[in-house]
Amino acid sequence: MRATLLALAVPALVLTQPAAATVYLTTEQAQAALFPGQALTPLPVTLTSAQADAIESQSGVDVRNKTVQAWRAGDGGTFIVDEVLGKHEYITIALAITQAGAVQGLEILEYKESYGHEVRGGDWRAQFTGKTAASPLKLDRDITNISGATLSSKHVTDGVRRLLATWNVALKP
Amino acid sequence: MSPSSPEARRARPLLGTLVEVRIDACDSSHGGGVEAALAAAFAAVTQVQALMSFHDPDSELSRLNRLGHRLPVSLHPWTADVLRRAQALHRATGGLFDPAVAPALAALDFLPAPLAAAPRGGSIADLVVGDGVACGVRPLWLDLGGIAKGYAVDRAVDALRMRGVRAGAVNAGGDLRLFGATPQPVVVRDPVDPARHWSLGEFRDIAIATSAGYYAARSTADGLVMPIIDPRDNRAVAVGPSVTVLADECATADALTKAVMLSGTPSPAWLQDFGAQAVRLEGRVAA
Repeated sequence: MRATLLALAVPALVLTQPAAATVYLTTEQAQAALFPGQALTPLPVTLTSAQADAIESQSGVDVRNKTVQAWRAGDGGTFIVDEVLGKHEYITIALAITQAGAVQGLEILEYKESYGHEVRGGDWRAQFTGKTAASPLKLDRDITNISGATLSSKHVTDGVRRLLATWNVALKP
Repeated sequence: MSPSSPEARRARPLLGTLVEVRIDACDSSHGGGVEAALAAAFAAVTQVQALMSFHDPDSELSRLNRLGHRLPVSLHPWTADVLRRAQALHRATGGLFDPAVAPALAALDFLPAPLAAAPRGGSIADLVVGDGVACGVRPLWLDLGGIAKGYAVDRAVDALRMRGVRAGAVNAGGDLRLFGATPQPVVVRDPVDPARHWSLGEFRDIAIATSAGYYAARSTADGLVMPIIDPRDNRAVAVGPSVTVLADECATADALTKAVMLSGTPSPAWLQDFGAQAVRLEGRVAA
């Protein structure tokens, strides 16, 4: 342990793809995980403006997309796939709701970072020219272990509240 | 098994952030396999959240904050363990790590203010922690946000190992721990441009936590500040360099990032007491 730490060199800049997405589960895998052994029937819904208003007032969260990707399970449960847009992140979530309207489970399907508004000009990049890492990581390798300040999950929590209101307004069995 | 092709990788919103659990290699002889191991890891994190959340009025911590100065509050062994570790870290860092700064965090809206009036003064040294019980010699608001996230990562790693996982990683929004025989690359976000990463190197069996201003900064009369309070003057730290700490356990690494940031020196002497090392990133390359 000590030996590992003593070997630590000065951190080196690595050029990683900022917009790389992590896929945790496909929609089908999430369906199988949240409603095991059940057949799910697509339940396509397009919200009316009145429904979107009702969802916004019930949840306190804006409705950005009126198309709802929902499925109904044999036991009356509902499965919804939805996208949540945070300040720096774009997350696809799958929510399972029981027939009675309680959260049965939640899975993150995909996480993607988005720093579009922060793209720097050439001046900022120029300072890195010729100062690449002594032992740079391969660019084709997945960067899986990223240490950094904690990203808030507030947008996911808001998204769940919006989807529960969506169920209440438009998807109740 | 290379880190880029794990046996399973799953994420859940917990501890106010996204918690990712990755299994790179798992003994098939254990019952339940990968799915049972993932479930156990997330259950451990969920339990730490239920016990130690400042936001949840029903948590053991909230109960201790409400009642601890009036009567002894019984605690789960994990909560007592975190409080004892927090006291040891408080002593070792000369008071720089102190969970009793919650009133200052609430005043800046980094934490929700409980109904009662905020206590003034006091530190975690004013808490008496016994075997499964604790009480305060004065009213305290403790926020374990600066250590419980790391502790949850440690308990999740324990849960994975107990279920036959030989290699993997748990990452709670940037505070992470790796285990297994194969060294894995770790990168740290650039504090000025968090989409860019700095390589720390390749590690095995290590915990790494980082504190920085991106994501959490808040604008105040004192400028842009982070949810890190200096217990010496109760002021929030201005956004600046990031601090990353490497240690054996994630609870230690998590807590020490705050203390190193407040110490004003890149490598305070007490880091050695924990076998830890710190890395400060300014967010730009020196000329």
